[in-house]
Amino acid sequence: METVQEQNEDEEEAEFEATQAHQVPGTVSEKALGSVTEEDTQRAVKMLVRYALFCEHRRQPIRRDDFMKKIVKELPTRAFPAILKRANNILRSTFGFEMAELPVRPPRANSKRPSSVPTDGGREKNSNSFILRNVIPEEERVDDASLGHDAPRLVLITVILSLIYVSGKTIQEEVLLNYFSKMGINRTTGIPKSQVQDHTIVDALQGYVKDGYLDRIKVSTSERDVHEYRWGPRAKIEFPQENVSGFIVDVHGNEDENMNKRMKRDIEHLAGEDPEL
Amino acid sequence: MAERLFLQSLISNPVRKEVEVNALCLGLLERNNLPTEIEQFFGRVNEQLEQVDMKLVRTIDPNTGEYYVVLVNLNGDEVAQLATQFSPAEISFFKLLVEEIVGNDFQISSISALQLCSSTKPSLSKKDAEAVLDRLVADRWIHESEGYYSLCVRTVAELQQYLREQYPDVMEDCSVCHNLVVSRQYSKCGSCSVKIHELCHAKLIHRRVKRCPSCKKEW
Repeated sequence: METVQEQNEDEEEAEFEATQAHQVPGTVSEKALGSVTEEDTQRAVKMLVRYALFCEHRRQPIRRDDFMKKIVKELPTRAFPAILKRANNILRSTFGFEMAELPVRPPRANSKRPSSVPTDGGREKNSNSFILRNVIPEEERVDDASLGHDAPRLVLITVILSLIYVSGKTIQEEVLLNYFSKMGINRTTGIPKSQVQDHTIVDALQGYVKDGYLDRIKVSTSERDVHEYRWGPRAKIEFPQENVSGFIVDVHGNEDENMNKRMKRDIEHLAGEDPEL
Repeated sequence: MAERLFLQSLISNPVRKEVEVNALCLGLLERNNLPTEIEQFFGRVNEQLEQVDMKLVRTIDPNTGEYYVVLVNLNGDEVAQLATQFSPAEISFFKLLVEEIVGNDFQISSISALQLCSSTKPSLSKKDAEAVLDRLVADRWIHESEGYYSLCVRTVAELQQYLREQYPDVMEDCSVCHNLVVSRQYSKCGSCSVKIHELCHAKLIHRRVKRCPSCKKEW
């Protein structure tokens, strides 16, 4: 039976530990607001919601540092978690979105390691870079054909991500470009970038790397250096990997349920996702 | 739920024909077993948008007379400026373009438009200017027809305030729909000189109204 004094000490210790943790929701982040006025906080929250929507429109990640230094210059960076939390509340309740932190890009990986294995010795845990994710479950969403002006790029990346997936989650640049030349698209062919602009497949790939849909990694083999493409941080958030095999089966499968199941299993095997290995 | 799905759709494509938007609303309301009251729905959506300085507005395409619904940004703050799709040079180009169009009775030739690229700060190449013009047309800021550019739905929806402030002598409201008259397709009352969009005028005639809505004299 603890004495009152021991109980108090325990409480103090617990509180101390809580303030040391980084991502504890609730009172810790709100305490960090400290001297910031409620009015300033509300204004910052509104700016973050708008900033998030605009960045998403440009397909750019929402960077904490850009936001804190350029837009709410007068507030300390430690106020960010509280602002983020409130902004996410508004984003969820009004738009059905939420800001999700992008996973940190892995350092140059060994060519033998599949990208799903986490690299150890992670330097920073937080990238402080976010994108908007749709929180409305798929079944409830509207079948809305208006993907907007970005439609051609979104369609193309879906195809590329699927190709990478069935190639074991990583694909050599030359192999990928070869698939495209079989479709009649070589390095100089113009493909739609938006409804009014064309660009080449090489430009498209560069754009995807910049946006975080793909990672382009240099891999040194004994003979030479090659580049490989893998799923980037944004792709991992926007396209849950569980859905990819389902998507491919939808495109290529038919009414035969058994065949579809086998196809799904084969696809996952190709991707290196064998459940009982 | 319906409001959120509606907004998601509008965010990806903020300039929509009213008929399309109404159909989308009705579909969402029915799916969620809500009463199919579009006005109330719009009201609820706008209440939520108010907290983030945005609004759903109904406006008219100055070139076709069609009704549009546009999700506009009410606040020209640092956020909007930092995060637009256009570079500072392109925005400078757009402002010059608007100025020229307004100053030339709402229309300029594509050749004159392109030549503006030499006056932008920082400067813009002709090739980039062409690309910007294409994007402006695609995103509904300007309209192109037979080699001439004029203002389009989005400019009217988003920049009403700006236009009224910058060009007070030239900007007038249509006395029927009360949106700005920003194209050459308008008629003027002989007695009191108010302007009406040609298409609004056509609607009046269709309803057999022969008097000016403002001064009540015969048109």
